[in-house]
Amino acid sequence: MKYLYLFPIFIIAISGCKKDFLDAKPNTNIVSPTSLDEYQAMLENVDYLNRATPALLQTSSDDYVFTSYGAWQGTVFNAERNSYIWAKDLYEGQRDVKDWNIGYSSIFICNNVLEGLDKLKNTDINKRQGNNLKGWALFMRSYLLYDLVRSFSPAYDIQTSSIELGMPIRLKSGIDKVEQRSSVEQTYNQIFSDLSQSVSLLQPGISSTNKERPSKVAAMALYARIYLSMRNYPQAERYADSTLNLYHTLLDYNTLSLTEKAPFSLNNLETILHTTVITNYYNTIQTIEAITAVTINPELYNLYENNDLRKHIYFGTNISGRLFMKFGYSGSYPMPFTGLATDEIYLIKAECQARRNEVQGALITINTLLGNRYKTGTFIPLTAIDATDALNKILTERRKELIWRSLRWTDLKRLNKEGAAIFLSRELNGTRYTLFPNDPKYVFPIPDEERELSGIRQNER
Amino acid sequence: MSPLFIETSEKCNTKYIFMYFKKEFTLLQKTLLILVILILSSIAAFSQKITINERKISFEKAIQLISSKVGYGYMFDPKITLGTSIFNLKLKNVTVNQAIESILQYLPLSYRIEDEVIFIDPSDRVWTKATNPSAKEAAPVADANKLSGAILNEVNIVSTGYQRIPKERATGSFVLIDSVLFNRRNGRNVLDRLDGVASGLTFNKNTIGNTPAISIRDRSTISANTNPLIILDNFPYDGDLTNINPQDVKSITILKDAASASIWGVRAGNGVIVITTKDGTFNQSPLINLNVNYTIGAKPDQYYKSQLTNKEFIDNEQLLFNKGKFEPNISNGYGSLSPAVEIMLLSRKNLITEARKSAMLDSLANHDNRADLDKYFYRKSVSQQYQLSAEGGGKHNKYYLSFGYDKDLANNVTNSADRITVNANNTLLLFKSKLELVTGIMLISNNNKMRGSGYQPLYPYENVADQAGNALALSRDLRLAYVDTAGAGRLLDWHYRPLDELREESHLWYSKITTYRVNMALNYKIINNLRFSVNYTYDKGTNENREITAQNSYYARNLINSFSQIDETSGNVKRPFPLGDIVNSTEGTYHAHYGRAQLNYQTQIASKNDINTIAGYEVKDYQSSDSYYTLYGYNEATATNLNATINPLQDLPKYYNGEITRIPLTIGNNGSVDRYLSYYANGSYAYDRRYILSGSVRRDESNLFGVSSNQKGVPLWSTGFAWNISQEKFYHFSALPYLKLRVTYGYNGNVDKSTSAYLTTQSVAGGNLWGQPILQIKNPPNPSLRWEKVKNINFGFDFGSSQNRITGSLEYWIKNGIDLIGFSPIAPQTGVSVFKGNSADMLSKGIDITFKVLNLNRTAIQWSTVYLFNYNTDKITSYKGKRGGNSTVVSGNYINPLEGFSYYSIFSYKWMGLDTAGNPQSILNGVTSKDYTNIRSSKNPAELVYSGKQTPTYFGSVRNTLSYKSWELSFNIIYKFKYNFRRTSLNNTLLYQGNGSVASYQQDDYNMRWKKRGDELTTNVPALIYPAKSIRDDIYTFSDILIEKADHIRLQDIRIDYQPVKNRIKNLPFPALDIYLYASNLGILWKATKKKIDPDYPYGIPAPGIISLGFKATF
Repeated sequence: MKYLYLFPIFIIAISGCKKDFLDAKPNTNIVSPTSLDEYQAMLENVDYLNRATPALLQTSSDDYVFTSYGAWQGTVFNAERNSYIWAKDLYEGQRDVKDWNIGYSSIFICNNVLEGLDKLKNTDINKRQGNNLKGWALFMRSYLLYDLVRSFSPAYDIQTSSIELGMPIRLKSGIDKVEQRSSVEQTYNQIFSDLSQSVSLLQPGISSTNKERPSKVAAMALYARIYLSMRNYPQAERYADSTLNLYHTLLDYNTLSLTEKAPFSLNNLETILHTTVITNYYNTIQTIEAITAVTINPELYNLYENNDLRKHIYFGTNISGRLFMKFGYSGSYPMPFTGLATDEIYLIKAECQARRNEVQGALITINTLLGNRYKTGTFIPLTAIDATDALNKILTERRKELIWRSLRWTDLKRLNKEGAAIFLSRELNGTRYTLFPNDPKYVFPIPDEERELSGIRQNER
Repeated sequence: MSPLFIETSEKCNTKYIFMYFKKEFTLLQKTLLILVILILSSIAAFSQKITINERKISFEKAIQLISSKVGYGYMFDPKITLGTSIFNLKLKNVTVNQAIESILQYLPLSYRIEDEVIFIDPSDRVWTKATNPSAKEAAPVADANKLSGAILNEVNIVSTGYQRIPKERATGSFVLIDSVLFNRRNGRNVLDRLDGVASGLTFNKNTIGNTPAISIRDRSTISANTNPLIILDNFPYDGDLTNINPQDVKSITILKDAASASIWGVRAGNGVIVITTKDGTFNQSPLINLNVNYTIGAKPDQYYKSQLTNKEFIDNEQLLFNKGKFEPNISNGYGSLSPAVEIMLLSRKNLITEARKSAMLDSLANHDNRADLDKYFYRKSVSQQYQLSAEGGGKHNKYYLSFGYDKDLANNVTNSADRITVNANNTLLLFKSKLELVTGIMLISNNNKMRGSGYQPLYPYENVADQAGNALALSRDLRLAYVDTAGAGRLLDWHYRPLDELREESHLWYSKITTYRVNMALNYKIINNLRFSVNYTYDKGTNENREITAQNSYYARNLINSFSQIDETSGNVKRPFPLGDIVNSTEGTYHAHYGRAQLNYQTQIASKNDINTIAGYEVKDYQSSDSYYTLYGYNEATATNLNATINPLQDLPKYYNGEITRIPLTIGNNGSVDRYLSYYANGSYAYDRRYILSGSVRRDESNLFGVSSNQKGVPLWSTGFAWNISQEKFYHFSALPYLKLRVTYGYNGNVDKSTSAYLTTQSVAGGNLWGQPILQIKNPPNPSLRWEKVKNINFGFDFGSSQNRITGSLEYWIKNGIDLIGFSPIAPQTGVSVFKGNSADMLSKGIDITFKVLNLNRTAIQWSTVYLFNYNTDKITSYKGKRGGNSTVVSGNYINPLEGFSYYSIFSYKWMGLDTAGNPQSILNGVTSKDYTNIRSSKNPAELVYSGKQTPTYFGSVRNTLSYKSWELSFNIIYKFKYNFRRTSLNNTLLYQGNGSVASYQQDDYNMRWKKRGDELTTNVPALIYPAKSIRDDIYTFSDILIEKADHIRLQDIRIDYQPVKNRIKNLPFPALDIYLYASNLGILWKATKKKIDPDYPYGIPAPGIISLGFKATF
């Protein structure tokens, strides 16, 4: 009853401070971001930004095979099943195709952060954080757009890039406008423009505890990765060098457990930036023992020598005797790691060296990496009779080292472009499926929902 | 409170009640005790008793007599009593109010007593009780319950929550439900009692999309709040309505149009339901009411839904087994397998013979799981309600006090609930009745106990108990053979035995709601015509939810074991997930202040011009906060927990597959603030009681998020006109002596606080994998966000035939929703797949008709019928949002509805029969097609079939009441016409999903499926294919072939009352007694569909029938 006495006071209080009264937040959990910390929290939303690599890159690749026809039939998602046989219609009515949607949702976050940061006045005190956040958002927008273009557009070809279909480029957060597809060339230009802006803003070194955050090192590494896929090998080598100058630590696999299911830690030394594929399609590409529908492509598995520690650290045998992928560089996160790591940069550098006939240099680079992969005292350094031999050996090593990283598909597109003539084939229930080099099916179709609502052009497959 | 109020205390003959409360509610603080003292002290207040026995007197004479007995003055216009008959008046020991009421109850008059003067006013109520006064004796008021219950008597003062208006003087559209009609129905829920008795109120049973349980006059929004605003006495009620004891309710007013509801402004868009609680009567000797009832409900019918026979289901499992569907679980060694699959596996390994296998499978098939559910998991529901109330009043005060206790044992064996309610209202008139002080308090304590995890069978033959009734273990997350040996005895028992879970009650939910609401109102008469009132309500509630999962529950054992690690050499068990109980706790509190200051001005100019206005200022400040946490390793005896031993960032492998997870330490809190500032004015002008003009304006401002201050408010207004045609001199239509025409126009509003003009984000509990805080985008910026508005037009006729044999009203209404907030799918490249914003306009129209007919009216026997008829229809007139393909239209048109059709429309693929291989066919680009992908993604809605609405176009009820002497029988028949539902049929994907679920075997039409060539001529059920294709299923599932008519007529309920009256039965200890029998959910009288489906429950099990026996005694 004492509250009754409060009433007159209450009325007066409210009339007196009406403005404040109505400015109360309806819910404590809702934030309209205005501070640097709040924008940072938006970028820390790793379930979007760092888990956006299209899974189709992995499910289409030849890293794995289904164990049986029944297991293939039993998959949850149409795209999971259809991408295995490179069917013309991957989605077959499947809605909410995360391969596409998560990338653009993440770009949307970056755009909101960039617009918000522009409105903030940076004082001297927060300038460093503000710059880093801006660089972070620009870098991620670039990274995300590259993951999309390598999935939904043809491999970069300097001859045709200006006429081939690239990605819709979204640089504003406004959702009222739909972008049509740019050309492949415009898309790469945008990727590089964001990336180059981010370089001067990003934190210089890799955070040893928060590898979800990009750094200058990551920017250099991304340059190297992209240029390699564009077959611009001199540039790729330059940036690989530049990356390794900043950070070249390799993990000696002898220090790792051969039996643990998660041999690598989340912030392991080789990781430059942590990203993974989107979180569905767990039936096939998840890195846990329980997966029995698929196993490692035996052809690929047989390439590992017994003294190669990767054979024991990468793979495990489950209860039914099937090989499965153990947790990789994503630590204990069960989706394939697709981020940047020093091993990939060594491989890029070695490949580029071999391509410009720098055989010795290439061998030194690759052997530096491999020296950390074999049981102590068992490693016999690679040799090569010529540059082609070196290149082939490096490409094989690339395949072995970067398994389950969703890079193989991009490599296939790139290598076939220069005449590698790699044929993929699968057999299921007596039917043989073959994917020819440079087949239009190397480009994933635009999901139905996107096409229906924005009317952008479909890829002909 | 000051002792001033206690001085009226005299001999308190009801002290025992007070003592009783004191004992029961020591926790209810001093505040309540003071209030109780206040109220009880006045029970015995002096009031003079009147005894009159006169024959053949006029009305005027009667009033004169009464007034002289108590020494009051009286005042009325003799004109208004013209035509009243001569009657006999026999009163014994009644109060002045009772005396006047007993003569007024037959006349179109009302009265008030002010400063010892009795004023008689004309026509404040529409008189439905058309008895011939001269033929009957006026009965003491204690019989009023009986009389009003017998025939259609209503308190015709409607309440808007701001003022009480005689319905006569109103222009708007109101529905009044008095306590008798309201209490005709049983049960503990307030709103349920309106089903079938309130015109224009739809109870939505089979809901889609954003559809509330109750809607008033169809709908007027798309995705904003759809619930009507609930007012409890003066202010909105934000608590849970199930808390309120229906027996404390005096009347309910439903405000349907702009003129009635716009006084509630921006929250009135969905209509308003005003609940008025009981408050006693001036000058009435104490009445004690005792109300007791006992209700029994049948068990839910486990056999209602069609399902595959066990044999058929096992045959399907065999097929899937042969296809290799179960290989993943067979090969990993720990995955769950059904009992039938285990047998098939034994046979495949040649461990059993073919004959043994079929014998074992047959034996499995012999058991029906539904019998288990029925036997062990459900029971007859039992509920008991008790209510004791006291009411009365003296010259300067009136009071109402009640105590209620409810206890329910639900159908679900573990679940039970009890509720205690205390309600006390007191009104005091001070300073020569210039100041009215109303105080009230309502206390509620509500306890619920529920089973934490219900039992959901996976297979139709699942057997939970052996012959002796002992619990059997079932395969759930893990294979039975695996858990038999896992850990070689070093782990906790890993078996799942649902019957043990049930019997040991090892996983329970407790919820405890305690609320109180304190009301205070001051009403001061400044001058004769001007009153100033202040209302204040304080509401406070706490809500504690506690989920206790004991260590012996399967849930806890499974978690503890899953995280356990056994050291292979030492055999030691490491348990990162600690032993002990798991407690999930949520504690919420809310408190709200509602305040209002209002001026009321009422005057009569030159005897013919009546002006009645109010203007005021109102504040609402509602704040709530919740906190939640989980305790692991909880020990109830010591109230300790082991949370400190858990590192939430530590990666832990699962015991059986090494999958890495973490143990989340859930702890957090959340708060919300809902504030409104409102200014309003409302007035009416009546000329000669013939013409009435009304108007209202209101401006609401709210703490909408991300909206600049000047956009926080919205002004809304209404106007109305009423014409009492029958008062005109030229009106000589004697068959309809009462006729009134009403027209209103205006705007109500609706608000959606979930949207914002700015970018808003929401923090995600637990942060990311690195432990960093994260903010997730909740709402993309929407600078053009506006409030929703609903334009309302209402035309109404009220009429009464000679002697009120037929009375009723007819209304036509139009609602036009403008700037409605809706969803529209947008291209995923924008980063958002669905956008919520002002995107639609909507038009709804309808007719509400109420007819009350007194079929028979003799002294001994009376028969009346109330007919309710409602027609409503709605149409989306514009929708700016983009539409997805046809698959989104058929599965969820309500998300972004098609223009030109109802929100509730059902669309279907056109069914083109089966092809010769049993595949479903529809139409694409005008030709029969099996291109399922393109049929689904087609953007041409013209290729779809409109399959009607999912809500009734016509609905209403017919309620008959028959009374014969002390007996009364009433029954209500409700009907719903012109609407459809989509039934379920065989679903290939669900049948072949392979991991077992109720949905996989509860399917219809399995036997009707296409099996061989030629079947397509006789059946529409597609062939089963492996693997199932969900898009192929969808074409059939969403085809027009599965649309059924939902039209039906239902016997809603029956009630029989026996009311012996003291006058008639000697030695009865009660002045009034009502013994009643009530039954509801009685079943369907007629339905259009031939399927064995109740159209109100096309996907679930219908509510079981209930029967109650009770009595209400007045002392």
